[in-house]
Amino acid sequence: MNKVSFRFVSIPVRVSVSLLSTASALLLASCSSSRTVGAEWELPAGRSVSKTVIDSDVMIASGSELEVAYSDRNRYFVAAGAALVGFEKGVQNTKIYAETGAVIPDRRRLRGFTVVTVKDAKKAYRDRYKQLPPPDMKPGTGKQVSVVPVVGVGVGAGFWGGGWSRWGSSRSRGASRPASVRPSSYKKKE
Amino acid sequence: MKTKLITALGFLGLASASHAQFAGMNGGILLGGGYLEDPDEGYAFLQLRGTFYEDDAIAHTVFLEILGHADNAVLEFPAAGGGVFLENGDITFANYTLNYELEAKLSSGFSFYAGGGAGIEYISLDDRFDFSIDSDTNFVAQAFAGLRFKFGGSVSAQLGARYLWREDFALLGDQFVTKDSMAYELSVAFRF
Repeated sequence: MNKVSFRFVSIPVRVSVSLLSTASALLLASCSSSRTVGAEWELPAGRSVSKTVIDSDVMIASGSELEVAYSDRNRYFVAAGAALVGFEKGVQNTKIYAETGAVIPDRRRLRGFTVVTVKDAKKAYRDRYKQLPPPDMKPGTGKQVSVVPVVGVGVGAGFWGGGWSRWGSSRSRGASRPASVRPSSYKKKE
Repeated sequence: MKTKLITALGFLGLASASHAQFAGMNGGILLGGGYLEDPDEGYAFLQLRGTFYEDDAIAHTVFLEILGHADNAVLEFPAAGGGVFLENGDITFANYTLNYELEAKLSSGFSFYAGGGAGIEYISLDDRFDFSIDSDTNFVAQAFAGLRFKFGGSVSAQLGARYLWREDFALLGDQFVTKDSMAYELSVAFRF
């Protein structure tokens, strides 16, 4: 009799524990792996966030950093002094509208996105439906790469709030040299 | 860069004037501006002129010209870890050419001029602090024609067009395409 009653009690308890464990695991997973899907989202100034972003338009304000684990079908609007970094798990079908002074991934080391230089990322974000083309649909390879803003090598220090006047009106000859140039009126020979 | 250019122009002007007086040539200086169809940019130019033959019908002139235009650019600096940092820069194009011009005198102060020349185009890439990053030098040639109107003996204004042949240029290891282009211009000349 005692054995039978114990079985009747233990089975619901096991099921309950199992369900609770599963729910906890799901809740924990959803919290630890932050994901934004189908959103129109503005990252305010001074914030640093890590996310996977899919099907979204994201505005990154100056002084903020968005570290993206995986990106697909997104448009990022990156203000001067903001950083869009990460992409460890890959990037594809993504377009980055960046002001000069923004930190963005290197196109030669990471495929799956295109970069458009804009004068005002905030305005481009506001006008994104009437002015901007859809994200580039070329499939990317999703190579793993990490992107870290430049600190203290002569470029990019404005990102850290030091202001562009930090270097005065001269750049030392030992400072970092640009890797490439994009003229406004001349096309690169393919 | 601009200071050096102005200084060089000053020396050239003095040299040209003294040479003109020494050789019995009529010297002159011409300043102008115009519009370059490709790449859809404005430009400015300065000519140091020497007329070595002139009568009532024609004049033969040679001149040194500096013609410049600029283009905005975005520089991509490498960031630690493989990213890039975007920064504004500019590209300056300066054409240094030696030219010959034939002027046919019409009536009432009007004259028609045409000619051609060749030289080099110096392309300089500067960052936002005007620090020179890279440069290139190419061959450039031009043909030009226009109408000139003389106000008295020493001042004239002219309306003209030119065709520029330019070579592609390379900066930071990348090659960029330039197209031969028409240009339209207005200028004022002073003779001394």
